[in-house]
Amino acid sequence: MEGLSPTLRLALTVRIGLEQGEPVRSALQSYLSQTEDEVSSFTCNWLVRQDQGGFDGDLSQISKNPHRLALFHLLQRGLRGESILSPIITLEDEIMSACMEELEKKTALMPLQALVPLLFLQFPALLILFFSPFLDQLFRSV
Amino acid sequence: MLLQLLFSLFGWLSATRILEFWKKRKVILPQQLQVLRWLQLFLFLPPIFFGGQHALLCWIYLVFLNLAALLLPNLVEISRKREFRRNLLPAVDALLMSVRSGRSFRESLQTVGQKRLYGYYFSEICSLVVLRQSQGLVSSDALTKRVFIELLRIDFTTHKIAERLKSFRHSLKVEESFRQKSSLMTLQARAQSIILSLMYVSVFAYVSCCFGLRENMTAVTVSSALFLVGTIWIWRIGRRHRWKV
Repeated sequence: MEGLSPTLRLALTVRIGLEQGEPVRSALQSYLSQTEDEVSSFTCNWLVRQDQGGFDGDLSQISKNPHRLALFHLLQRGLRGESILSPIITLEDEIMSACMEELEKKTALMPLQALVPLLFLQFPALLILFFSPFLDQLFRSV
Repeated sequence: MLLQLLFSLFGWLSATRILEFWKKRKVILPQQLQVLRWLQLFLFLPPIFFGGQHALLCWIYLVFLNLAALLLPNLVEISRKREFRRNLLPAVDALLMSVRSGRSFRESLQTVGQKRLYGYYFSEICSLVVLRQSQGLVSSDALTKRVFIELLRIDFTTHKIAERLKSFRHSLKVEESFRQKSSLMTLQARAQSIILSLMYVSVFAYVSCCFGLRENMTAVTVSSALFLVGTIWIWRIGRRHRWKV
């Protein structure tokens, strides 16, 4: 699932696992076996500390991302045995629209970013190549 | 005569080794191997006939042929990966339709995987899943592996197969839509870079033809360096996107 946001990837994997009748823990484990990124290492630590009973407290101490926080709160509920399939589908839609928004913002910025090398590197390169022989001839004639 | 013998021996030996290498990497199928064995005879005829008169050209020809043959598996792999990505969603759709029509999952895999309708890798995955072989996948591509593991997992379960396939297709669709959107993001900048490169090459050719490169060496070097840095910069924009969500 390269190119996907790590949070969306986690939500998708857990959702698929739940739809296939797996418990939250095994969906998380299959996610951890498939993925290696910042969220997967965080999830691994979170799951270990959850097992040790040391993570019932405030998740915001670890992550400031609201979508990620909401997802982990939901997963925490799922690990306690609550049914989270329908909330996770809703949350996945929310995360997906947030990702689309982020992508659109990035797309809007792209032409401006591409303008910098064009104006300061490629265009001067063309000018140098085009005018240097003429300038050379002009200086020689003078 | 001795040189021609050397050409024929060297050529034949390298061709045989290359064919074996291709067979090992599954670039060619066993039935194609027979045809290629005849083709190799024709490919190595020119050095045998012209080896005496144009020895250097024949050596270059042989080296080029060997290099092309060594690079071919990588090219085949790239094209198979593209084919796999392009045909993956239709293939999963076909699998789902087949399951929905009342066939078993294995039967559906055999139907969809036959005749390489959806590409080489997909039919390879189908046959491996049908045989329940968890090893033996040729491709090292992450997506190919993921699809293989997912289909294998679905095959091991006995219920809700259509639902499982449906949710797998959903994840593939999401991934595909994001991939398309992010590739569109970079497309405009890259198209702009290609057009500018064409312009640069034509100006470069004009300057070198009309004024000579040696006379304008400094300007040409500075301009080429600037242009190269600019092109690399543009091609790197949007390559890696760090998600905030």
